[in-house]
Amino acid sequence: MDVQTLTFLIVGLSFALYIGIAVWARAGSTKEFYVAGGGVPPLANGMATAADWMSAASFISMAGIISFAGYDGGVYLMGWTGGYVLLALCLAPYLRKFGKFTVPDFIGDRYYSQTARTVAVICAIFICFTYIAGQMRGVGVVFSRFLEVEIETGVYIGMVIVFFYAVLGGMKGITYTQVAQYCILVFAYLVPAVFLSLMMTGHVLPQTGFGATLADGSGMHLLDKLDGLSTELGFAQYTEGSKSMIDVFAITGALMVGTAGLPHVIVRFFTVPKVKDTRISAAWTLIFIAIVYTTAPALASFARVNMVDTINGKEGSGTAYAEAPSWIKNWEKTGLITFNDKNGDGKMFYSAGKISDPASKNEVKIDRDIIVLATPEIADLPAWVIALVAAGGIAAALSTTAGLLLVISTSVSHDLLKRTLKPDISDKQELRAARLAAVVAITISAYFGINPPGFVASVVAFAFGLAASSFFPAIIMGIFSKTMNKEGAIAGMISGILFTIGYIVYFKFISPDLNSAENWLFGISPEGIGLIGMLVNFVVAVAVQKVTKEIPKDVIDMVESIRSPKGSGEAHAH
Amino acid sequence: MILKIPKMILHFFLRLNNLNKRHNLSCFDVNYLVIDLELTGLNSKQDEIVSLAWLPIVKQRIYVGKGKYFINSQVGKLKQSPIFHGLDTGAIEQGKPLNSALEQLVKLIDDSVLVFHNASLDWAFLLKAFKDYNISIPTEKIKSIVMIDTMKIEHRRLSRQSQDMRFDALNLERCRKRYHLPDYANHNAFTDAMATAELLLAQINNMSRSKALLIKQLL
Amino acid sequence: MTNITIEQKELFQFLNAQAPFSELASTAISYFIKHLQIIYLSKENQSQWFDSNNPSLFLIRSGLYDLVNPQNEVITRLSQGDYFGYPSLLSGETIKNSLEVQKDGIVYLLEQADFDFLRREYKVFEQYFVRAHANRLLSSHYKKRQDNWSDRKISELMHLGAVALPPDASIRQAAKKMSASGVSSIMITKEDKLIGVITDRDLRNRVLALDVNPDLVVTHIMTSSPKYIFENNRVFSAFQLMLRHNIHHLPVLTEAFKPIGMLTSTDLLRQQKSDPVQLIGRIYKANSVANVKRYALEIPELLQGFSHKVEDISLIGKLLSGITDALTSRLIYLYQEEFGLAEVPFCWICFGSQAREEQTLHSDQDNGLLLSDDITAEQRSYFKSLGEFVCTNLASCGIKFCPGNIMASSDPCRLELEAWVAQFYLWIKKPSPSSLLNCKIFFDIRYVEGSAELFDNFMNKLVNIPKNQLFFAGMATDINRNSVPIGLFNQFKLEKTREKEPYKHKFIDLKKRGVVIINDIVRLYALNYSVRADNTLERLNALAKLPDINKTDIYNLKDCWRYLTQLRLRTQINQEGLPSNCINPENLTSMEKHQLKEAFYLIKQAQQAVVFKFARGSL
Repeated sequence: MDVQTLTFLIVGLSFALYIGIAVWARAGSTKEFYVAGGGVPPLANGMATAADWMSAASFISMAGIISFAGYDGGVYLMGWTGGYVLLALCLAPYLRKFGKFTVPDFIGDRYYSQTARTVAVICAIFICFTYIAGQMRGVGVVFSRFLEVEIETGVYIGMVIVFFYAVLGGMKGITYTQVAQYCILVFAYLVPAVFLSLMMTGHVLPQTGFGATLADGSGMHLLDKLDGLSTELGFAQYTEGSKSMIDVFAITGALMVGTAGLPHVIVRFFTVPKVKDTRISAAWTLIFIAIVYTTAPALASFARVNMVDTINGKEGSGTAYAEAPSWIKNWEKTGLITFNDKNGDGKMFYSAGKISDPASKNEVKIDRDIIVLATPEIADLPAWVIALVAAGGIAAALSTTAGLLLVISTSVSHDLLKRTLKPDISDKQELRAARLAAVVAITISAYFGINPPGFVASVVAFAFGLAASSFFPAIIMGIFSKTMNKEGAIAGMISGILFTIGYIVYFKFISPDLNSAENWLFGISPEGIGLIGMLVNFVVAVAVQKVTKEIPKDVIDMVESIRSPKGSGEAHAH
Repeated sequence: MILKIPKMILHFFLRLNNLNKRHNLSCFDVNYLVIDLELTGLNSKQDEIVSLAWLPIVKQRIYVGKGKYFINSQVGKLKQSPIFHGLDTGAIEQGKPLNSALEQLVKLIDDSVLVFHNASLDWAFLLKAFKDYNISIPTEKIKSIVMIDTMKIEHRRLSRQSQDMRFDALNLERCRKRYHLPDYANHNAFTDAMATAELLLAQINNMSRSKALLIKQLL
Repeated sequence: MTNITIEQKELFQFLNAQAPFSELASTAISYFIKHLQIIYLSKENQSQWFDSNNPSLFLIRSGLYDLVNPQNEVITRLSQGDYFGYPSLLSGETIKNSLEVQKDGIVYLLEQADFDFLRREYKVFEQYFVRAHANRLLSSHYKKRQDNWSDRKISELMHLGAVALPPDASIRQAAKKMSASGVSSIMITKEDKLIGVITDRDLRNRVLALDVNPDLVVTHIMTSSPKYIFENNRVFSAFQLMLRHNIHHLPVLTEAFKPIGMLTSTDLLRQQKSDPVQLIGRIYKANSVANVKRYALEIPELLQGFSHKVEDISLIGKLLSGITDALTSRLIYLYQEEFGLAEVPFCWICFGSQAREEQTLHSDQDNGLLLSDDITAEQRSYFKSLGEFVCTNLASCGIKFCPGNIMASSDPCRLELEAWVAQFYLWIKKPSPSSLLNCKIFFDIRYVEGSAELFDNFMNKLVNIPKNQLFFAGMATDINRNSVPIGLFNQFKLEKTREKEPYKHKFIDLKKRGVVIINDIVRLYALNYSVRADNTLERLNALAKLPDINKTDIYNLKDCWRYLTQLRLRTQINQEGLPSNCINPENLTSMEKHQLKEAFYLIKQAQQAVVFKFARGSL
């Protein structure tokens, strides 16, 4: 069976599995739910949260970025892991105690202001849009490769599938579907990594293979070989990195604090009925995330060595294009690999520099987002592995997108329409508005998926930056400051997010040619600017608060009660 | 009194002449065509038709969808305030030449009993218009036309009940009120034709009260 | 109104303000106008319009008409804006009802083909008439039910004419007036308002027996602020009131509180042909536990006989709840007689189906004791044994022990006011699956016996417990665990009986998959908007008055609830092999199947909306 048929089969089977689980879960829960009412065990909930958490960015793009950028790519790893810990340990318990379900609700109530809520809702919609755009790109990459079509067509197909899955199917929210998605995702991620690790280093665990010597008898360490290759080809040394310290710090920081404001993940902390279970499931989630995240650098390195070896040949003089392995041809069809035979020797050669630049020896342009998907092909792994990876990529994108679409549709239909504009809207109209909002969201995101302002991971990084610059300060001050008032919070959120959007739009859309370290503010890239946006938010908020009215007494009491050591839901007669 | 004698003689002859078959039909069986005009004034010699509408009543059912409404694009002057008939020069410009409407109307008039509210006024204008546009109607056709006037019916009814009539007691709106028909907010030829049609149905139903009622009793 | 021509303007303005056109595109209105015929409907000509072979839809523009069923009973009075004729259009059946013209008028008529076109093209149009048809069926049913005496209006059986005296009259005057009018009670009124009642028994017990001077004013001996009932209440309510408070005279007031007559227990007894209500009376008078039990033994048998007579199943729920209330009250009375009166205020409360007045023969006990705060250990043990006494005896009366131990005999359900409040507080704050289940049971709560003031106090505190979003989210999620039996392709999803009989039955559980969901949704809204009512319909009525709630949604839920309850009735009759409350859709007409799907669809929509509103769409 060829790869394409197999891919259809496995992706099809995975969908059948999701739908099957959905049907089973529905039927199962109605049967005995009066008596049972048991809820989801923390282990399963942990997996579901991990599936929510791990988007196409984590699955498809992170290893790619690390693979190409080496050390620099590690910021995503650190930022996202750190962000999860921050959210799980420092923020979620307080938000839960406050009894609010969403960040806009928290902000609206804490800052006793409908305006604050509306501002937060609009920020949330913005963040979700950006996040979904990244996901659409990821889905597009998967489909374009396996249907062997242009990336645009891939995105359109992805759009339709996501629409049916998330909007019409209402698949979001069935915990066990997400458990299945996590299983497929993690399996798909580990299998090629284990294969490669075995092939290249003889280690079963990619995590240990990463630091081991190569199995080709040279006795060379994998990372040494990578460093050697990189310098040879004119890249920065793999383990060194080219980003400035401050930029790395900023990106990591933005990713970390941005996590706290991501609306679709916070909800997961609340759907577990018991506080104790929340903690256990958060711990599980961390483990499940770690499984993928620790594999990523190893996978990235294996892929890198493997790829350079395949293109440039064992001797490093290039491979004849006519004899190029099938994966190069396959990916060329998607437009994500381009070959420009500059020296006319009929051989491909990969090195640093742009393929359009005559001064550079580089003749092959490779889109970073394909690395995870192409690795099994590059390493000549069995066809079913390739198919599995496709299913994994789709699983990762679907679970996250469904969650984000839900946030957008509820925000528009409930927070904006029902709460603010038309309180007596009927159920039917509300549901219809929600669907419409999801459709609009998918369409706009698809546009950005086709014309991406960056790679999947960096688009997602923008989403985190926006969240960091708008929500994080409002949440932190909402919990830990007894003096922050609504005027301060609103001004902070607006100025923070506007600053960040402005910076990103300027460097990514208005003058992309200026987008290099020397033009950046403090040398911080658009990916990391969310951290500065956050500081702006803090400063503006505090400044405005100083000159405006004091916070009402009952809000102070409320803040105190959240921070009191008593557990949430402590029974006390009043 | 003396002045009335020639009129009576005339009527007698007209009756004789018009021993129209339709006169002895039950008023529930014939088909009607209810017509209403909007005019720039009351003098058929100098005033013009602004708009024209008609509606068929078949087997006591008013078919709204089969009604027609025309605005005369050639109307020269708008004497009355546009507020009354709701048409300004802009609407007039979008109308059609009156002759197209008249030509359609001529084809319909011999099939049905014509109904007006204040027939003499509207009919005079129509005849003048037919003449102006050179639409000739054979005399025998004109003679065979049966015309009913809801205003006249109402006038007769009220005078029989010897109610004293205010000057506006016979206008369409007041007539309708007496039959508890709904108030219409819009005043245009079409709505008025519809209102007249409903008034006619109300009148004949109230006059008959399950007894037979012939067309000639309405004349 | 952009594409509305001058010809259509007048009719458009009328139709556009008229359901279902108000919700339709203007093209639908245009279509209607183009195809409608205007007729003048009078007593004399009406017969010509109604032809079963050629049915039409009628919309009244003016006039007044009574819709009359084949039994010659008026179903409803129709006036401007009402439709008729659609049942035949929808079902294809011959025209059954007829029209009595009260006042002639203008009616718009639409022929079948045009009606079918609109029905096909516009879902809202279709839904409107299908639902209107369902309601018509219901209301004609309610009409029939009036044969049942306990459902009749008070005004039909009371003595008309209030025998009344002002408060400054003497006792002697009162006695004279009573004997002159031949009545056994007299009302004391001040400026047309009822302030007290004097009965034969009062003259005996409070005047003669105590040697009171008959020249004193009546206010000395009258029962002030007496119980009363409104003329429009049901006889059944009067019965309950009399039995519960052991009174024999009930002043009847107009809605404006003007006394218009007196209803006596004799009036009722004369009407009473039904044993279950008599049974309630006997229970309220039983003088020993043995007697109470003996009477209770009659319940199942009596109910069986009775259930053939009543047509509205909800009355059975009310009756059973009434009987349970009676048993409880009497047992509490007997306990107090034996062990002395309680020294502090207490209140016996019930939960769940008994509270919603939807009890069945299989329902088990759900009750509790609400005690006043700061009671002594001694008093506590008094109430403990009261709880045990009542629950044990209720069980031997046939009302099973609650498997979940929600009974006044178990310590967690016999709490002081503050402890109860704290308990609810905990459930609300920690929406775990078990506390959600608790909320569903405990938030349907009703007073049975004891201090009404204490209960009021309690309810006020309950309403004021701040409820956070997580609680509502949990409730909403929980509601969505249950689903309506409609499959992917708008097919009924049938369940099967478990027995391995030769014929397996397929069925739909109308209660579990329909009524329960509505109950849950309505309870959630009621809690969210702090509505104080314990019956689903009452809650809906209260909700409909709130500004932020869409009225259509509420009416939809109400229609569905009534329709399903109505259909449940059928499950009682001739459904062999099927569990109670279940129906096999194969036995329904296509019209009914359609309506049932419609109802389930609306419930599903309400379910989805609840998740949206309270849990942000996540399950």
